[in-house]
Amino acid sequence: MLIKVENLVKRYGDHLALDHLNLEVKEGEILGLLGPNGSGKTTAIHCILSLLTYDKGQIEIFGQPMRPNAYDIKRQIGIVFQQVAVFSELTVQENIHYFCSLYIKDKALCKQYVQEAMRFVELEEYANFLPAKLSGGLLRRLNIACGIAHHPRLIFMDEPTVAVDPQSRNAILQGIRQLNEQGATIIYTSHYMEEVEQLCSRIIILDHGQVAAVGSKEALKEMITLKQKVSIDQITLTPYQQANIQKLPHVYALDYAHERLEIKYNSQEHCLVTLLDYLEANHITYGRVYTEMPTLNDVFLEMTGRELRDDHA
Amino acid sequence: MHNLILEIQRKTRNWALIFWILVFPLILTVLFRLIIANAYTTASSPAQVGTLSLNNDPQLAAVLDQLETEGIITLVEPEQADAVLEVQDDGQLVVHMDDNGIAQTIITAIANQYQQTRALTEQTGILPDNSQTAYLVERTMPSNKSLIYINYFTTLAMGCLSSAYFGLKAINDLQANLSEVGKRLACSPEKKSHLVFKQVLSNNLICMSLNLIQILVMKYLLQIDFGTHTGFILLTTFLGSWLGNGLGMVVGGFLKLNYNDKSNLLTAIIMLGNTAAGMMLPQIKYLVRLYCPLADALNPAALITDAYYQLSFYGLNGTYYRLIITMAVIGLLFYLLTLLILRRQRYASL
Repeated sequence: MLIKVENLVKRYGDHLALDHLNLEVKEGEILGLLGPNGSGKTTAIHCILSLLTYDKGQIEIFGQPMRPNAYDIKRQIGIVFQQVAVFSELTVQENIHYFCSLYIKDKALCKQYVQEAMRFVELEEYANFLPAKLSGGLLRRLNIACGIAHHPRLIFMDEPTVAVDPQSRNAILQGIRQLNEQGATIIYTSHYMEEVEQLCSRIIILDHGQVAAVGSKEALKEMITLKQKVSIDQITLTPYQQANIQKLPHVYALDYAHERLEIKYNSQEHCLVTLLDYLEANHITYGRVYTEMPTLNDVFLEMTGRELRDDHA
Repeated sequence: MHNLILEIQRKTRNWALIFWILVFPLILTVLFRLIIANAYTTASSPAQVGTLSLNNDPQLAAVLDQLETEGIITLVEPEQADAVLEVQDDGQLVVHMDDNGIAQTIITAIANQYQQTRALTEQTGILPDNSQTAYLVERTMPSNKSLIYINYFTTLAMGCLSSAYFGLKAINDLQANLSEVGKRLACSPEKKSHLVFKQVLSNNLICMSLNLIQILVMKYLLQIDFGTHTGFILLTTFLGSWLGNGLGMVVGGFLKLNYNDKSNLLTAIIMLGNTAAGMMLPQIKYLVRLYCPLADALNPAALITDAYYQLSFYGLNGTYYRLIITMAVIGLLFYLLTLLILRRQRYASL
């Protein structure tokens, strides 16, 4: 076990940010920490890194207690913070070199790692640019390079793709996969479920400072009732027809409003076929039909009654 | 080592701070040199002064003798004088003159300055008798280079103390609750004491270099005399930067204000300190020394100004050594306090 957190409690005044949090991180995995704003993801990371004091609990990294002066442990950790953390007066190359040299004392090796890091994040042509001249996406890449240049064994990434354009985001996610393939263990926090689903081998869903659920994305989806969701636009149904549809096999929830039908199934077996057969048999006309498999947001919604993202549609 | 070089590189690119440490003080010095220095020049030949009833005020007699030695005035018989100074029985000093030229103006200025300074020293009784005359002479001299030199040296003190902005920025960059870079540094395997040491070293190197540039411009372009003790000039410059940098670090580390507020506070401290050290009006310096000696003894601007002043006018003496030791000790205290704050710091919130 690379990281072991037991009974972590953190309060900000009267507000309980982490409520007896327990988590473990295995070597070689990409662990996703998923949760809405204010669920405690960043607080958990900061406590694990000994940046924040906490009220109760134990934290071990690489089998040793984590403390502010645990320099041997810190030497093997890389961090990509949510906000860009670089010096505005230094160029791209100088920034990466500055932070890499805090970890790697061998001058030649440090130089080599800096070049590798720039290649990795595709910032070679921007080597002599100051951060003010970079776009948001490029700045995020620089932020990542500064955090991983020294080839850490364990990497914390705190929402590294916030406010980043889709192209840069894909490049970042691709880079993270590469890092994992090269042997790094990654803890990835986000409130973008699509990223976490795409990237992470194991996911912890946090809510109000507690673990709401743990497992792979498939295991998490197995935990909930919802197995398939069918939506149909431009459909007119009488209450009688709605009641009949509700009685179809595996239907456990139905929502009809503004000529839009949404049905939740607790199984994936022949659900759509059965529904369409019924509609044809009753001469009910309809517009677009689409099916969705359950998302992590559905997992979160079923477990907590709330959406993962405030802006989730 | 490479990290230190990058630190220095990074700081030399901060043009705003370099403006406050080098450019602005130089501008002030040049302005003082061009405008105010001329206000202290004397007439082409010494003013001729006659005296009456001088035995009523032996100190005035001593001051006039000294002024004659300095070549400011010539003591003559009252009938041949440009103006006559009479000390009345009640101690009042009266100036008698028939004309109203440059010489008369100088003599009147001498009389007024003497009376004011004398009144101040009598009220406070601070100065010991054996330094009274020298002090009075110094303050009475109308062409006294010492007055304009106070202006010059306060601009140098301003430059030294402006290294406080570098100190403030350094602390801001080191603390995780004040900057993102601080978070990254807090998570690095570098000891806090090493990080602080690097900041102190790089700040002092840069600030001292900038202050030395100012001294070179003042000495060779503006022909300002710093005395002959080059090594001690360098030492004073280093200690000035040392003190300023420490001031910035302790303000940055101790006060729970945002960065802009701390910067504004430093500006207020530096400007106030320089004003009290005599930048706008050298006489203020003496008023502060007379009425609030503790403030004068601890005012960083006054310490730096007085140290340069001592080197320029009196060379190495006990006063100079006291001043530089005070600067060194205060600066060291600032750094130790800073280290105490930062060492093993963890935060309740970020």
